[in-house]
Amino acid sequence: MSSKANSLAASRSVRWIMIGIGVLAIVGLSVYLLQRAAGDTLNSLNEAKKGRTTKAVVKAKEYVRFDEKNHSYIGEFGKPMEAKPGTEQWRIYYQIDNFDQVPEPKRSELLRSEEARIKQFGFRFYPFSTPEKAFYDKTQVGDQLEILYRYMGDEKEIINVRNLTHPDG
Amino acid sequence: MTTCLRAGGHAGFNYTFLTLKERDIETGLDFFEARYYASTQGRFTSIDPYNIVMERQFATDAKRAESQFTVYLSNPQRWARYTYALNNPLLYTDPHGEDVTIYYRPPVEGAGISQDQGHMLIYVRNDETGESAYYDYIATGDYNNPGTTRLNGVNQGRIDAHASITIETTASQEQAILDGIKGAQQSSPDYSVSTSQALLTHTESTCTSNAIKLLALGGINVGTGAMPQSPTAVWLSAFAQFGNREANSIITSTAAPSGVVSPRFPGNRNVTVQGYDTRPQVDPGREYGHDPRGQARVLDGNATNNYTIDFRGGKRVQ
Repeated sequence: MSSKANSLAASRSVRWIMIGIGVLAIVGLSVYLLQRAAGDTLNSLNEAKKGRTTKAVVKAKEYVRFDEKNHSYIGEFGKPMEAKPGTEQWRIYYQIDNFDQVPEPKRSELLRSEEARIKQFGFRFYPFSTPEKAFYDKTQVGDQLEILYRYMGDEKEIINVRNLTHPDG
Repeated sequence: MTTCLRAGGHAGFNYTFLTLKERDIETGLDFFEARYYASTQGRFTSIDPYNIVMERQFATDAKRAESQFTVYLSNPQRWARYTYALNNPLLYTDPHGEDVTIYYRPPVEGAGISQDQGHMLIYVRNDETGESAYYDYIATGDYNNPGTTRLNGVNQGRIDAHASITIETTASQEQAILDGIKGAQQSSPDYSVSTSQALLTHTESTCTSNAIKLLALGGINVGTGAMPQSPTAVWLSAFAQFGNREANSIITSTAAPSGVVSPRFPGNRNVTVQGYDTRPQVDPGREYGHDPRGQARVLDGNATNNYTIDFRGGKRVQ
């Protein structure tokens, strides 16, 4: 009787040890998977966060003055943007040459989305304001621009524009 | 006792209008987030929780900490930790309305958290000296050459692409942030986010974390405490403290019906306004703070050192 009770107690202890090991293994695996998922997300974010430089060609120039009736325009993400009535924009329209700074398959995706954007909204433009009018004045159609951009999904954020043909502009 | 004249402004504004802080009706104290202010005594009821010595001791950027420490020591009024506005609220009520502006772009729709968390940059102008500066921190590189950081020269397109909150500040606050930006223009930490930095050590270096540190130099605390601090979290913190609810009537209701179409772009955008009070809809190109002179939406062509500066390993390479 006592030997049976001892054996039962021993088997219970073994069972609890096994359950404990199982729980630890599940917790450990979960922590590992969560950490890996967080790491992958951060790596992806870090990759997308990087500003990259590419080249573009100036296609057109346009002066726009906003008033009470006309005070919104399509912004860089294809969404309407508000402009203050009475303000002015000196726009430089341009076409980006390539996205060679980004590895495949993202590079092709960015190219495709850029072509679709041009079909829908026309060439991208960068709006300059009164203090930057000198840049607009010196920039000519056909000039080569350096574009600092980054991508998010298929969208691109244009961070800065520099005129390589007329660098003083 | 509770009203005062604002230099160059209108008579009869309640004091809380000046500070934008909520007043506890029972105690008469103004809530300044970290502590209460007794306007009848012209003093805070507890000491300033900001501790320059601790800040210096635990700073990850020794140079910046040193510069911050020097600014602190240079004005003995800062040493008295019960005072408000360096004991000179009339001088520091910002008569020109030229202040600190936080620019924010929300995450791009559909990009997902692993591709975009939005962006923020800041602008500051010192009323007394006329000096002003932008701070737009960008990681740069490509998959062959990953490693530089850039302080971006801001132009109008950049401003248009962001929403803004302008915060009323004093000349001394503005100068402290300006000094911080000038320090960052000499040495700027590499962009850096890892799992451990973001979740455990809170030492990441991003547009947001660096902007938070700079704003804190001027006593503007928009950090949310828990890292990682996304641009959106910081924007919401700034909006809760400094947002102009009166001017943005669309945001005033806490229990607005859901599924309401935006009156600004009918037909273009369906906006759910439920919960606007804590998670305001953000439209690029729009000002959400107090910006009487309209500084936020127009490029300041005279901003100090507003040109592109590259860094590698924290040192200027240009």
